Amino acid sequence: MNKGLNNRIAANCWAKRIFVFLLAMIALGLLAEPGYAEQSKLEVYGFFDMEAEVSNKDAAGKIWTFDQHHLNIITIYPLDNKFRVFAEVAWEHGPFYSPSEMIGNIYLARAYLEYKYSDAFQLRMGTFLTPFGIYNERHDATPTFISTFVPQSVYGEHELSFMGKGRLFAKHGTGVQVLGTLSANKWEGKYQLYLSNGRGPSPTERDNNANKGIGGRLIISLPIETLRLGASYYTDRNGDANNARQNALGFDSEFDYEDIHLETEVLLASLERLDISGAPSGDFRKISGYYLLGAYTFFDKLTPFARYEWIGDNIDKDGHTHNATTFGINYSITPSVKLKNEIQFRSEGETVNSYQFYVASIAVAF
Amino acid sequence: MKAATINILAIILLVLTLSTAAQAQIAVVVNKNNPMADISMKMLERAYLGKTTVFSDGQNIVLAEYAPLMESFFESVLGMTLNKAKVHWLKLILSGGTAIPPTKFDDVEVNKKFVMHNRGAISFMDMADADDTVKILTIDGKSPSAEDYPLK
Repeated sequence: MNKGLNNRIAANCWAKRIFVFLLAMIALGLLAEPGYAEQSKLEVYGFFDMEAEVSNKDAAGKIWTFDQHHLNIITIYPLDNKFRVFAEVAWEHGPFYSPSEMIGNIYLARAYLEYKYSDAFQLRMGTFLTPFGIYNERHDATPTFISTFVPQSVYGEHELSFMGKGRLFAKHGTGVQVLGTLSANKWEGKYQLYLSNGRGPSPTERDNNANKGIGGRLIISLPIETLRLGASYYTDRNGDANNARQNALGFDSEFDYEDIHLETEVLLASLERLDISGAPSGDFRKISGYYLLGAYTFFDKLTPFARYEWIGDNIDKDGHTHNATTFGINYSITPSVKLKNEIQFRSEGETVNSYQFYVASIAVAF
Repeated sequence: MKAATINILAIILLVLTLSTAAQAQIAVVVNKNNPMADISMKMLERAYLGKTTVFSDGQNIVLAEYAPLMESFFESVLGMTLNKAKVHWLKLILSGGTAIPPTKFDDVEVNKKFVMHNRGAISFMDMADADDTVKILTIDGKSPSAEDYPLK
């Protein structure tokens, strides 16, 4: 059998396993005793979105297109007062798998057992979203985003000469994470520390090198309660043929006052190519990026916003810069249903390959 | 003439009803077995924002909310509109936060029964509806009868 067919069969198996897992979770919830004495055993949440987009980047892009982008189901099953199982399954781009074709993606975005000793100490074991920046743990939950898309300067895939395109930190991690919230007077701090397989060909199953994905995130809420400051760190070694040691450091800040929302993030990352023995080969790249976003909400419904972002890929050497300016306006039909419109003006590379990108979307949380 | 009088009376009644609702004194209540007798505004805010999920005795907090008073409660305690509070909870749940969102009740009797049967429950209701099936908390040491009770 060829590799493609094997992949399709494996994908089909995973789709079936996920379906059976969801059925089992729902059955457990139905078996739970109803009543006042305890909360419903199974909680189900999720989100859905659909986009209509067009750009003038190339001829094909000028065609209007619809994209049923996300349907994610989150199930939370409390085992008792201390333990719970959290799982999220994602169906992206309306997946359809058959022996002859594969459209879209189905994957397990999160699955972990969580133990809560107290608010100050919790432990997660399994696959989690890497705590990095404002958005990574919100995953693809577009109903909670201001823009339809997360800022590409921090969360996007960057052009890297020796690793192809990739994020500067792993979106998911499989391993253990400790987290908690500490507060004193009006100060509050949330910490998250984790040890994971990092990246690799099959990171939820095994690590292919001795170096683990290690990182953490710290969020401080100041006595000025509307201001939050965060810092995130991630380091990993990708053990593929293109060995590379990655380091990513991010800083973020959010400010809310009445109906004004401001946020900014900065990302500083480096990649160092390693030879087969793990020694540095001398190829070293630096990537940085940032964005600034401002939004104002009128009548609790209408939110115009603007965002500017900049990315510098190895600009000290042979790299180039990108920037994007986004203007948009969102309308909250209800707190859970948002209608979004935005236009992005993008500029890529030294030759300033500029184009515009328009997207309208509806995003629903449930 | 008669119709005009009825209309005026109806308007007066409506205004009286609305002003009574606006002035409803909110009681914060917990299960009778909860050892807590007082709660700070800060702790109340942190609980309803999902930042504090356990009482000081280690019992998990089970949040409930009484629909007719949600707007004024969230405005007074969280400094947020109802919509903003809902968006806050959506972000919390979808990012994996450990807090369980409040269970909403439209009927005050069902709200009381929920508190009565859940050891870790906390809710709010009109002071006039709070009876001996639930325990009324003081806030920052101030009882609901105090002049400077914060949820008047």
